[in-house]
Amino acid sequence: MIKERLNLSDEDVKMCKQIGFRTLSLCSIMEMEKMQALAYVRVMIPVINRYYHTQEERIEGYKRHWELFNTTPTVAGFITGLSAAMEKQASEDPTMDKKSINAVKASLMGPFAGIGDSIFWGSWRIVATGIGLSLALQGNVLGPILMLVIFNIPAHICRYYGPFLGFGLGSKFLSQVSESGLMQFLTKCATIVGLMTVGAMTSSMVSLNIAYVFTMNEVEMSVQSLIDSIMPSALPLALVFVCFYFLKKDVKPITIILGIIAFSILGRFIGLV
Amino acid sequence: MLIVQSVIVGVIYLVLGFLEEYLSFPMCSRPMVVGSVIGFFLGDLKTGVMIGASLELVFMGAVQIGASTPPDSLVGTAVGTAFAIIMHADVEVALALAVPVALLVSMTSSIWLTLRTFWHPTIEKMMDKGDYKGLERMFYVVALTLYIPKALLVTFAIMAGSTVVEKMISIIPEFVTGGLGVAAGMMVAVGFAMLLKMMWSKKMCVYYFLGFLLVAYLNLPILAVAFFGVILCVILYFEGNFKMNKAAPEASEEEELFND
Repeated sequence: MIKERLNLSDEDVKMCKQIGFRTLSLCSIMEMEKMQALAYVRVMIPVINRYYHTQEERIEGYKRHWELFNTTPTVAGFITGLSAAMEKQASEDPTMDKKSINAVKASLMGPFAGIGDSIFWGSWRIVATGIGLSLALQGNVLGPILMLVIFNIPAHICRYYGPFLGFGLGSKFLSQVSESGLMQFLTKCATIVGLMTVGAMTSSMVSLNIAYVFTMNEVEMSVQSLIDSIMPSALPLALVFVCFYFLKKDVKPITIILGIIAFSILGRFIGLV
Repeated sequence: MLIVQSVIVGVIYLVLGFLEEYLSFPMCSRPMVVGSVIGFFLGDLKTGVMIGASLELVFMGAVQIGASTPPDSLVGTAVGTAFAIIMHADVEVALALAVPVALLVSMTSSIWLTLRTFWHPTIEKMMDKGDYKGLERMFYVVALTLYIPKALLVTFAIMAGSTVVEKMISIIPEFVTGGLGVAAGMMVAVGFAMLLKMMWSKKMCVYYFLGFLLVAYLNLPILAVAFFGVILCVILYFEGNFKMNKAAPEASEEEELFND
């Protein structure tokens, strides 16, 4: 298993599990100034206490991690594990420049947040929500349960193994993974599945129907059935692109939502929708 | 009775909000889950699930990505669902309350987050002393500094607001509630547009249209579309121009690790 493959001792495994559990809470103390700094200190406390034995070194260690940090907690285990490996190295090799620990943190937090956000929050959450929603909209409690299960299984694999891989394989592994193109490929896959699901839900979940009916040659014609016969869900698709256009023009989402509410109430009043 | 109900909702808010961030976003504070939990504890599970699902549609795109401030869907859902269940009102009522509340709270979100920075001097003092047990305690104090005031806000909003809201509901004309129902179906488009903005590129946008057409013309369920997407990825892996570089052995080793 993972312990033998990475040549970890029992104590290492225990520490990695501890790091993993504490890494979950990176966002718990999110604030505007140092963002996740206090949580990062909390992750590193067991590591620093294990490898440094004098009070001065420990204080220096806690302070080292009291720096701005911000990434997606689900994938942050790779980084916290790597930090632990570097702290271990620094405690054994006094010539090592301890600034490199923070430099590595700072260089990894951006890419990891990008990958974590697009895979887990962008794509996978949408897939899980879409599957759960179709049940939940009918009042079936299996909907939310299914969503939680589907979302959390792959997320949990990442949360659990992250610190082991970061600690056991170190910086060499992370650079190899990013060089091999695997990261980019996984991000691409997540984007494909995510875009397809969003496209699917544009058709099945956005609803916009024109209630207006006109008379032509004494036959009543509904505008909506006319649209449906050409392309079902054409209006929802158009609506998404109108919103997309405004977002690209840097209009705030809140403004667009208020605009939609105003349009709907007005449209209802004059009998359009 | 109302007092008990509003305290229950406040506690649910506190627990779900804290757990969401404590356990690395297991999605337990999404509207679908929050609505169901509130429905369960207020004795109307089915309505709770349905309201939660409708609000999920509205707030689906509302997640914190980068530095943007999304609408506070958790407070909005808690207040909206609670009112609708307590007053036996419709989904439209929940929506009419949840959206403005979520927007108002998100506008003040930087104030809430600033509350936490007041602890910085205490934290730094503990660090100077090397008091790591104190730091571990401080972690919980700082975390709850945000949630306890917000939970109190939720509780008092439900307690104090119910008479006002009841009156409000009785005087709102039909075209407003009907219009809000229409808006509910449209608002999810904003969420989708936000997701598109994140994922859109000229090369990839064809997959969006593929997903759309599969449902618009073939009426496939979402799960089927997701499976087709996965199969497409596998085809791309074997047939496409993707090649593992020299580090291929390490990459396959990683996959084996995940299978352990």
